[in-house]
Amino acid sequence: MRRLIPFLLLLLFVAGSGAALFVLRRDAQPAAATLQVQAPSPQLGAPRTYLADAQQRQAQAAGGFEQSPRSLLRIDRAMQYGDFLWHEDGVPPGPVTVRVDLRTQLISVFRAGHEIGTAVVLYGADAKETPLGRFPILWKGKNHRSSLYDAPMPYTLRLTGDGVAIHGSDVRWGAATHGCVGVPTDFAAKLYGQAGVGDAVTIVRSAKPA
Amino acid sequence: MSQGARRKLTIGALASVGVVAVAGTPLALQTLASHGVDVPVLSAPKSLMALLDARSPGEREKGALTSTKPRKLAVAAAKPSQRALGKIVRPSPAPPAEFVEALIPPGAVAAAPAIAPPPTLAEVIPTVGGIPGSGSPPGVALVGSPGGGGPGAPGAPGVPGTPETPLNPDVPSAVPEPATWMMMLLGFGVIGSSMRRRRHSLPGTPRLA
Repeated sequence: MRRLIPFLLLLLFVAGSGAALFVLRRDAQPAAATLQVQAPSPQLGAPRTYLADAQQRQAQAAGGFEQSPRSLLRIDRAMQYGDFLWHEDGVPPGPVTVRVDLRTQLISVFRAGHEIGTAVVLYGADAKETPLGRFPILWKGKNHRSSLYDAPMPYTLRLTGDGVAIHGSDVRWGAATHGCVGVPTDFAAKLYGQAGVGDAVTIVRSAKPA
Repeated sequence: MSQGARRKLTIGALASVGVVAVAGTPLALQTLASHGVDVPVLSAPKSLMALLDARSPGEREKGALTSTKPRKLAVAAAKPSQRALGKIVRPSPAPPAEFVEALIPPGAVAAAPAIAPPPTLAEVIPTVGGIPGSGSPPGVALVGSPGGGGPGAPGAPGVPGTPETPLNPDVPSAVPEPATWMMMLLGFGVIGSSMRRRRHSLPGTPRLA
């Protein structure tokens, strides 16, 4: 009889863990919902990914982020040429910064550290490269027409004195610019509404992830 | 039971419980994670750069814009391509009964003469051999030939009402198969090489240096 005690204990443990799993499984959905409400910052309108401290440190190491990013828009797939996403519902007012990464061909617009817009960009061709660096916006023009190329450049945000700007373009595969950053025109209109003269635009070419 | 035996039992029980707990923990954590419960050990935050890379359309390689290779362009654009599949010919189903009855009334079918069965080999061969003036050589008799094609006798007429010979299902295609082409080209090559060899080997043929 005494020999059976370990086996009985074992049986009890297995049965107990099984029952606990069953209960947890039943309560899994409500538990997940409460976890989402307890996000580190107030819940914003768009589905977004809040960044952990480690990720914010990665941002500082990677460079190009004028302010430490607090959340990113959640995009579950690779964006195609011409795609963009804009969600500013619930994001508090704050300084607007823009980060352009030439390697990933992406632009990210941050307000108060939260990403409010992202798009696929066109950048300079091999012979007319887009300059890297930090550029405060010098001038805004809604219906600008380039005098250099005699081409419409709607919603221009000029970055350099020699004409490099962010402006609306037909973003498609196989196209490039003469050094500007081309974004979809609808996205450019939204960005034009957000960014003001003096806001910082950082253009980087990030390192390839290992 | 002695004191030592009881202690052994207790140690054994504790050890077994410990083993089960250690072995069961990953399973339980996995189960929790699969049911949507956030387990911090398993859901380590993804790298920020990995998050940004996941939404990127990819890098633009150096010189990608000046490449004129259409295949590369197509691959980079990642457009869905169409594949031409072989045509599938299914046997046509039997026509509906109403159509058959409308075209051929049931009475007409009964009145129509019965279609003669296809001729057997023995019936066909005498008609071929039955050309007037020609006869089978003496001593050669076709098995089952009903006396057709005697010497000097007129050929036996063909069986009246014989239906057409059914089409061979293995009709060769009008377009030669690649293997046929290869065989023909190989033949040309062999002919050419043999002609060349013969010309070289003929006596008195001046050989080019």
